[in-house]
Amino acid sequence: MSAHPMPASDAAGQPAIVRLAGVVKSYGSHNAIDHVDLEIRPRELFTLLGPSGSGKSTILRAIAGLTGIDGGTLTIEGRDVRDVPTHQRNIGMVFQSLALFPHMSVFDNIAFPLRMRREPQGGIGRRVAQALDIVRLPNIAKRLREEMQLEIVRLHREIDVTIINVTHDQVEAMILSDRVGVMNDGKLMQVGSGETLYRRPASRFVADFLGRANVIDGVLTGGPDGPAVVTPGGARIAVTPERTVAEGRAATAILRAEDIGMATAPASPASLAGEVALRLFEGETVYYEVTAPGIDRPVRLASRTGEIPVGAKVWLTWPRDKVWAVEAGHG
Amino acid sequence: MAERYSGLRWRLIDGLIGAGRILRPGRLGRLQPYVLMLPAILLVSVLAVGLIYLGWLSIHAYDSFLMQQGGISAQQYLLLFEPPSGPFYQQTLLRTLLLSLTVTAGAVLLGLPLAYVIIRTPRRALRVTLLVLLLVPFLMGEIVRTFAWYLILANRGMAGWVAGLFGIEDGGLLGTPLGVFIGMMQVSTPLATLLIMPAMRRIDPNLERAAATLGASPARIWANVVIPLTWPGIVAAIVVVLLLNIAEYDMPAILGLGRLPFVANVIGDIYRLQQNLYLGSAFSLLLLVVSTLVVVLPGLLFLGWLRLRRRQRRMAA
Repeated sequence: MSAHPMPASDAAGQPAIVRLAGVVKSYGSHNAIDHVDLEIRPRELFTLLGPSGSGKSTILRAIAGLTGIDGGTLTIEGRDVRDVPTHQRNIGMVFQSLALFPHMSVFDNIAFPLRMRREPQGGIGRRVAQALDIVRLPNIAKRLREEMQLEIVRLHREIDVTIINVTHDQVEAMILSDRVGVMNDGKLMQVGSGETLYRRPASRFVADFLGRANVIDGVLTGGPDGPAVVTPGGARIAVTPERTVAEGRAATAILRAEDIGMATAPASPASLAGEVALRLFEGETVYYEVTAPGIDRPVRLASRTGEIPVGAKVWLTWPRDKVWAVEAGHG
Repeated sequence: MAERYSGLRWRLIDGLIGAGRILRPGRLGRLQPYVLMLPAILLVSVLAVGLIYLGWLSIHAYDSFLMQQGGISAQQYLLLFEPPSGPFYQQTLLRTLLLSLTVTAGAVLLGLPLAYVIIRTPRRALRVTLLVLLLVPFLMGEIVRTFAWYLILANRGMAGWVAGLFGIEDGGLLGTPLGVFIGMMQVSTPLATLLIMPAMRRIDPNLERAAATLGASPARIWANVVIPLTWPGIVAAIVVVLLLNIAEYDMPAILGLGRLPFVANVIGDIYRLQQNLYLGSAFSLLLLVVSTLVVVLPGLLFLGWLRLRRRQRRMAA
């Protein structure tokens, strides 16, 4: 085995426990994993987030050794695992279907990995008891799904393990994870904390996938009032002065639904005029769609009060530093 | 065209449902279960009458010279168990059981991986092809199949030729236990495979993957996951294949060249050559009892062992 003992380091300075470098997995001409570089830190709860078919499960299966890779290197604890079969990778995988052994008791299901590692019989009984104690079996049925997620976070802090989670549920990803990797079409689009991904998305796709965002294409222009994305129709979307796109470049403004304020009178000269096209009561908030001249798609927003009826003439405002801009055509 | 066809199909289904309503078994009230069981009851009673008749014949004495039935006696069973004729019959019974058990074990051992490969073949076309190939032995007549093996196993057939390549003369397998074994395996293996498949198909492939991620090597996945979950199919295969093999007639008669008769062949000879219905009945009943024991006894033993093990496990936990 020609493993490289040199520990790979990531930005946080800790050696990566799982490391993917240029990993490719293809089915015919389609790349299910398309040159993915990823480092999982020890003891972190990392979530791969993406729509179905984006390759997140394939990455998980590749790490587990349930599927081979066609290119790149995959190391676990510094060891190249290309030729290491699944059962020798010393990992555990929870399947969506749970994949509990139906012919075994709860005890035997929990004891299975211990038996496979030929632990002594006495130790197995003690450790199964510990496992049952951790999950507090009698209470588990009462817990709601959301509380279960918090339970996983709590458990993860108690027991010293690295967890890689896969989901298409952005809320679950943000609640559970130390870091999230967003995937699309086999590519890893961005890695960061849930908050970073939400507030500072690196691409239009990430912005669109997390939360409810208005993605408005235009050209980044400066001005006396600060930078704005100006649409081909002439609408000005004021964006954060934090520079991510050069002036004069095609850019996409990312305007979160919950950041937009709406009034029946112009609050400032920068307000965007429009007309209410749709009003849906959602409980906590009221969902609005407002058509505005110069923007081809209706602007979506969430209002707490929701007093304004359909057809009303309205003005939209937002704090400019909450509106992020990314280079257009970037994902 | 397709529309008319589908219209016809729907009318046919409607007609069947209508007919079912008219003949609704629910109208029979409390008699319904018995009426529905009638065909089964008829079938079983005919068999039962035959069995009772066999039993009745077997406990009578018979004078083969005068061809006359005597009084009630254990004469037939003494013929089966006591010298000079007893050892031959017992040897036949032993041969039948040993070869049948060997063939059953071989068929199940080959059938397990075969069923697994067919079920886990990802491409549908290939999977269906494999299944059809599995059914081919059942598509030809038993006699044709047996004579085909006769040609293969004969001295001047393939077996003899292959043996000749290694310098063995008269290497044909006709009349040898191995020849009969090979012939019986050809039907038993696909049958065992077919019986194992339904149970195996129900296994979620994720269970094997989960076992692998938990540290189970392929061999231990088979031992701890695949085999236990296939167990109902394995038991079905053992019972059916064993019973069919114990009653085998053609293979020992043709491939065994009459030198290795099974119980069925000997019973046939008793009926046709000796024309002794009484001895034939006794041997038939003996075979019935022995094969029932062979199938039922291990089953009971296994159930007992299972219960014992479960109790031990619970104590250990």
